[in-house]
Amino acid sequence: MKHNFLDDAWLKDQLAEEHLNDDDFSASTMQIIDIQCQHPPWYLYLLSGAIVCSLGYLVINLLLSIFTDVPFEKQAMVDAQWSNLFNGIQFEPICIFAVVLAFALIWSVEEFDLL
Amino acid sequence: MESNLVTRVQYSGDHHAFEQLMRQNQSPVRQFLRRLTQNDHAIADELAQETFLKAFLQIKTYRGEGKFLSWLFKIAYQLFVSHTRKKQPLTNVELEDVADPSNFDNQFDAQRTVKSLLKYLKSDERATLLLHFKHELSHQEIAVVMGIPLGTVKSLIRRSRLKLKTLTEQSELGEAHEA
Repeated sequence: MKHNFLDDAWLKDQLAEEHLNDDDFSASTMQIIDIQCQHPPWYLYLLSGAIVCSLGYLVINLLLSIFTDVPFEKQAMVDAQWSNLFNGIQFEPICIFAVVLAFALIWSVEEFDLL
Repeated sequence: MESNLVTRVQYSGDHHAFEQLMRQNQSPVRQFLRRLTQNDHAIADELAQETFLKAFLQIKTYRGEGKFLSWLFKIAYQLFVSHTRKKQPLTNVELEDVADPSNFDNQFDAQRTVKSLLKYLKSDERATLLLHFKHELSHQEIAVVMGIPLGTVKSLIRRSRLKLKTLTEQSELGEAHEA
């Protein structure tokens, strides 16, 4: 093989290759892109967040109350919570945790394509 | 016009426009990755798909500075480097001692072209050679693609040419002895 590595034109000629046919490459890549671009509708995020937040606010507080020594009335507890909800939301740390949990749930749904 | 297609993808996420861009640029990107991966077509095409996927998702980061193909090469090279770092060290023929011409064993491929000698270069040497002589990128463009200084690009090209020259001379010397 005659070679002249100092000659740019010769080296360029040596490295030249034929054009690669697209075959199925672009079509299959576009399919992958289409799948990646699919997002759940926005109201699903809103609904999931609202459900988890409200359940968290009601249920977690209720469970904490159940497992304390203080006697209570369940119905009064729920009523009190609804009343508090509309009188001005007071976020206790456990409720903030419920909110964080809600966002984690929404993130998981999107990240791991659960729906 | 490529710039029109890019604009359509950036502003409206036009899938059809991106598919046209992909068809125009898939050959050089895939060829580049095939040479980098030493003709492993499966891995090269997988990396090429990841390249175009990443390009679509990050299309807004392309600001028109330089050719669109250069931007694709940059993504492709970064993906190749990440892929190489995850590979088992023993399966990587770009180890220092293998790439060293003094360990070359005169066992050439039957074809014995410059392309067959590329596997004896390190990946960064191979990349600079291919980007400059095959894909006609300037030294400055290669520096941007590979994220290395301009001086390093020139040094790598010079070194890879010298290495190829040394390899062929050693081969011819070996042939002469055998004869």
